[in-house]
Amino acid sequence: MTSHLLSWITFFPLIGMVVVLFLPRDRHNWIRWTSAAASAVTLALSIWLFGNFDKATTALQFVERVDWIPRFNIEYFVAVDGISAPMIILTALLSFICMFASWGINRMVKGYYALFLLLETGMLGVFCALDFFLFFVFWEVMLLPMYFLIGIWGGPRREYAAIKFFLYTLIGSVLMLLCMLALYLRQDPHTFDMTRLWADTSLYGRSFQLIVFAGLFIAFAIKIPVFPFHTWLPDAHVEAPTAISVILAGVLLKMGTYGIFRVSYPILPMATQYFAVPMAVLGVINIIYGALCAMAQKDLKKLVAYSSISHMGYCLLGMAAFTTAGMTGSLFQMFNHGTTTAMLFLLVGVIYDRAHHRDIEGFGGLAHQMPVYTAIVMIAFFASLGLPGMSSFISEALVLLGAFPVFKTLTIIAVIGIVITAAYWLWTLQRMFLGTLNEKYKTLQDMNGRELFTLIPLAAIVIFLGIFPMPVLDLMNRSLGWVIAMVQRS
Amino acid sequence: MTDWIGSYRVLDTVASVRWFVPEIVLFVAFTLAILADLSTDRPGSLRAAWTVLLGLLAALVATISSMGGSLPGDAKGLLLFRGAAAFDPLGSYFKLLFLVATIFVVVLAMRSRDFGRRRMGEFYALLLAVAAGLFLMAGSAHLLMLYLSLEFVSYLSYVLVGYVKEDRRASEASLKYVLYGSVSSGAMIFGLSILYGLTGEMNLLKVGQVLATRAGAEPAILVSSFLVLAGIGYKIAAVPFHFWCPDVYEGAATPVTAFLSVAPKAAGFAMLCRFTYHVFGVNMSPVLGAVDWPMVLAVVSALTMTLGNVIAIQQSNIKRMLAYSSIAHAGYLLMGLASVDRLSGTTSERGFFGVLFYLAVYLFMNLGAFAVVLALREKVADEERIENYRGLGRRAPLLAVTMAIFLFSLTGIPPFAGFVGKFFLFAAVIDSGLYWLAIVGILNSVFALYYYARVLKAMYLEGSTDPASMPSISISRSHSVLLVLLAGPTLLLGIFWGPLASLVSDSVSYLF
Repeated sequence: MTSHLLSWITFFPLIGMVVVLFLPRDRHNWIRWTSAAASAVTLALSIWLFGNFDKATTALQFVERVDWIPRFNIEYFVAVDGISAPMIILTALLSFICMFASWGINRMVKGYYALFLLLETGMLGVFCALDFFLFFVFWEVMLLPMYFLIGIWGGPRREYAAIKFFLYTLIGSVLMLLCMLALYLRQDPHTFDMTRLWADTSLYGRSFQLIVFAGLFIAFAIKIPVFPFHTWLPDAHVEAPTAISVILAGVLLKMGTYGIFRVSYPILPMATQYFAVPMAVLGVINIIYGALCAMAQKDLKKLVAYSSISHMGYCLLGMAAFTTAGMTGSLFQMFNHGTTTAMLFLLVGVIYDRAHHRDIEGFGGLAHQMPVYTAIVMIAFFASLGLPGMSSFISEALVLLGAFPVFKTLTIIAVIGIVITAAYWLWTLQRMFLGTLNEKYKTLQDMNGRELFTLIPLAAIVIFLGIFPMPVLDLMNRSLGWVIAMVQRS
Repeated sequence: MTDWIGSYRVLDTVASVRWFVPEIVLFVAFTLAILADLSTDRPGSLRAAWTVLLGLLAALVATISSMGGSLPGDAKGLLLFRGAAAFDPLGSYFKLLFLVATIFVVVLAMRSRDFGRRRMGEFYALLLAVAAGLFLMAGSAHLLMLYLSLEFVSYLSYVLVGYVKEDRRASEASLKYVLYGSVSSGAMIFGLSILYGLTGEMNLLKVGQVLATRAGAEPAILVSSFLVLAGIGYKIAAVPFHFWCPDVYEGAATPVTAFLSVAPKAAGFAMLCRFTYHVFGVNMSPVLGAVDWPMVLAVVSALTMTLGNVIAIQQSNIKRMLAYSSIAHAGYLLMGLASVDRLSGTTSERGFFGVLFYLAVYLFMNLGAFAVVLALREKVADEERIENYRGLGRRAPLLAVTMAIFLFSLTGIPPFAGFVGKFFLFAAVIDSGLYWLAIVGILNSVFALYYYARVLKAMYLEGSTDPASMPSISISRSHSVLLVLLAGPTLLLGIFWGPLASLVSDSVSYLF
């Protein structure tokens, strides 16, 4: 199994999907447990990957290469390094948790879980692929289940949100397709193999690099999402069912930044340096704009959605600096945002299931009625605002540390974002949990075992990595050094 | 004594017969089908249909076996009957496409209720005759043959469209088809006669050779080329010759529409490939230099796909929507022909490859979409409105899933075959440096998603959850099999397209 570990990780959910498709339609629990089992195996395999990952090398590990379409030099080429390994673990973890967070889905259960498992395969495939064509195929494979998952099981405006998400992402991916073709045709013999695409950058002239970088950047920016391409996000996140919001925010947004790390930086170093300042500016705009928008929201889920935009801005700012601290912070922030935002969306789901609304003003004094819930919410809020002792503190501090020597003014502006973030979380906390309890909610139940099961592991990770981040930082250190060296080549 | 034109070897009539077997099989089957029809009085009899199917299968065998053997004297291709028709891998590939499409359409028609309980013998015989006409179109290497085969196919198509005489929509469609068709074929023969006058040659290859020796801009060459392109443009429904297309597609019986949207369009592209290769391709720039022909094709391509998609968004009738979508797809295909070699200005192998590959993929996905429309028609009245697809995901899961596959493939999303087809077309465009066309193409793919997604939305996202108002629809077994047969390749060619790619490559590489 170890020799094909990545294939097993990627395709095990797909096997689960096939099994689910053959289960009888009305046996909801069979379907749920099968899906949970499939994602549990995937998670176990990815933990195995974590254990056997060699942290001392920059080389690609667990490499598998098979010719797929030899005539066009298209390969099935998967491997991991320190950039993709944390993402794979994050994806497997969140997918596993979301299987349980989806327990409440009662309509067309079979379709839901089948699509979810297909989505998981797509996501894992993106992080494993090192052939650009394969990367693209997985990237698009995610799109179809996502459209249906939002469109069928989403909230009241689901159709609008689903098609908007689909159209935005498709614009990005067709742009990526063109850029991918341009790179492919520059190579002789033509190839999609990323290791060959970044081996010799002298093939790409200056204007070629700039155009291709810009195209790829828009493709990835839509996914992150970077202002002004962000407008799909509040709609999609708000309308999607809880588990899908978690996946969207926890994994899909990371694909944008991952794509920049994996594709744009090593392949187009000259353009990367050229666009460093615009990227940092966009990052800061994201931080401030997202935080201000979040502050203005009345809907708790929308607030969480905008906070994602703000937090992804740190990733962008950190990666634009090309310093070890900045890059490490950026990649670590991707991981941390995945865990904290997953907690936040799950917590929104918990209260929505009980009160059937998410209006922040509509609550008050919940701390008396739901003490456990309040405690976990506080962990999540504090993690999100970057309280020392929580994982996001370390990643945000690293980003700011790494960015300051390069972009002084921008970093100072970005720090304001932290203040606004603290403001909106504390204000929300006050409005929802403190004060007198709304009479309507006297009968509200505290969290049940299943909900605790989804949230406790995430809370534990958030706190553990806040105190002892080295396991993840060690994982990515070498590879980030390699990325920086690649960028500095030109 | 053997004659050569370029790398094509000219055969005399007797020697040609051997390479003309598939066409002969088709004409024999045509006669047999009529006889089979006369042999029975039962109106619902499928005797003729089965004869036609057998004839098509025999022709398929004949075509495949003729492709296997090597050509005499290392010729790249043969010119049969002293230069009237070409026999070469390019033509054979198209012939395979026509046969596969026609077989599917015959089966669709056998299951269709569009025709009521009338005598259908002639219908199948006519379909077979059109297939023979398409064979001639794909092989035509002679100005007269070009015109005659095109007219042959057109006339039979008029009859097929108007086959259901009582249906006023069909009659109107047929009349429109005749009117537009005669204008454009008139234009075409005018253009062909000028070409003959200029060059003194009737064979396409020789016309090209003569034109290659003439420098400078001659208005006559310009005019004639435009007129010929207009005739072909009408067949593939390229803008601005597309006006007939939506009305005809909506009015005709669904199997006929499915057929017209695939086979004659492919034949039009076969002609266009030959014409651009032999007449323009020899030396695109200096001879016909007053006009940048690749640029003309690129502009037509951009207009065709944009107009098709923009109007398709507004349609509420699914057949009309698919009609406009097929116009848009002609636009995508034209991208391949517009992508010329950047240095020499000649037609490019990559472009031809893209066109041929996409046509095969398009055959499956487009026929598939029409097959779904047809399968639904059996069960639901007024099935052509998109609203009637509401809740289909629960009412008829197989129908909805296959429709989703066809529509995603038409949009060009992996892992479906349509993506691979588009991928090759875009590769050709980028390779030839037409970046603006690539941008127009991708924007159009996004437009297209919007209206395809309306059907998906109706099928899966809309409709009441109350099972009583959404009774399930059972599909006949033969339809299910047919849908799976069409959806299978649409999915499979998106993952393992190697075999098709080598077939396509063999069919074009000898030209370059």
